[in-house]
Amino acid sequence: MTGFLHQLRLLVLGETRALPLGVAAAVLGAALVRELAGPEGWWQDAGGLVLLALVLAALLLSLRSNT
Amino acid sequence: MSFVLTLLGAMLAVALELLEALAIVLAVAVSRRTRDAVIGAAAAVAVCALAGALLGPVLVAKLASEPLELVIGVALLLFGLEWLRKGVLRLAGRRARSSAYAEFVEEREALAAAPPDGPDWAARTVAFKGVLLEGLEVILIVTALAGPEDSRAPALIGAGLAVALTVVVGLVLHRPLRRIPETELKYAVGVLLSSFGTFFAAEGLGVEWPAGDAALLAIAAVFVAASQAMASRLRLPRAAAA
Repeated sequence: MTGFLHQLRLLVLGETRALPLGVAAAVLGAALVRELAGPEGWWQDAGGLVLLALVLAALLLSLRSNT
Repeated sequence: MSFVLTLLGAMLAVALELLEALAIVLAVAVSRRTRDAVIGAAAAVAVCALAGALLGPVLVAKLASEPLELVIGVALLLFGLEWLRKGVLRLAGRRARSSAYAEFVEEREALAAAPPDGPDWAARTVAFKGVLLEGLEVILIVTALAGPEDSRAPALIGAGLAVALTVVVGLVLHRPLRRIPETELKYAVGVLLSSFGTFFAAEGLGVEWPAGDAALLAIAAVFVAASQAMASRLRLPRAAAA
């Protein structure tokens, strides 16, 4: 049972903690920038690029933690 | 555009997961008895069907549009980036290439003992667990991809095509299993799921992508360029990799 739960956790969260933590940080960071910028204005047009950059940073950090 | 990408993403992700489940079921059938492999797999399929029937409607009915997109986006990012991370490590030679055939051989060796006369619970459990874990991943990915209303049809069609494809591969195994370029396909699925995840999560945070759905292509291109750069930076010299 413990082995199964371990595999289930791996399935949902992946092999490294760095990735789910990185995704959470990226989304929370993007939400914070949105609050600071205001939901209207530049965020609507360019907010996606902010999130994309944060997500790529999360991927890079998860790779670094693996090598 | 989004129709084709959703269909492709769902089809590839589901086919690759089902292929891994198939490898486990075949290993059980070859090493022990087909009947026990089928019983274990069928029980897991029933649990997955129940999970899918409960999860999809609940997720869609309980959440309003923007939070739903954010939840779906985060779920797709978790799956997509994990596939992409492994893909980059494999392309860089820092991780073994993905192979359902190798998994088949490994399971077969682990189950080498002769089956008991009565019900073979060990074999049934291995088949059940293998199919359940891969099946749950399929359910989660398809549910996430099918979350937005206009993505429902392509995600379900893609999943259906993948099931048909896997059945065909299963009928003519095992040589095709060795020829499938799983590493490259899994990398492509990682790029697609990560792109959808970023797209939906941003929309959930109030972003209006310029060019609408076509932005998905640009996001995917950025993921390909960035991950290839990461892979070439991490690539081991040939001597060290060998």
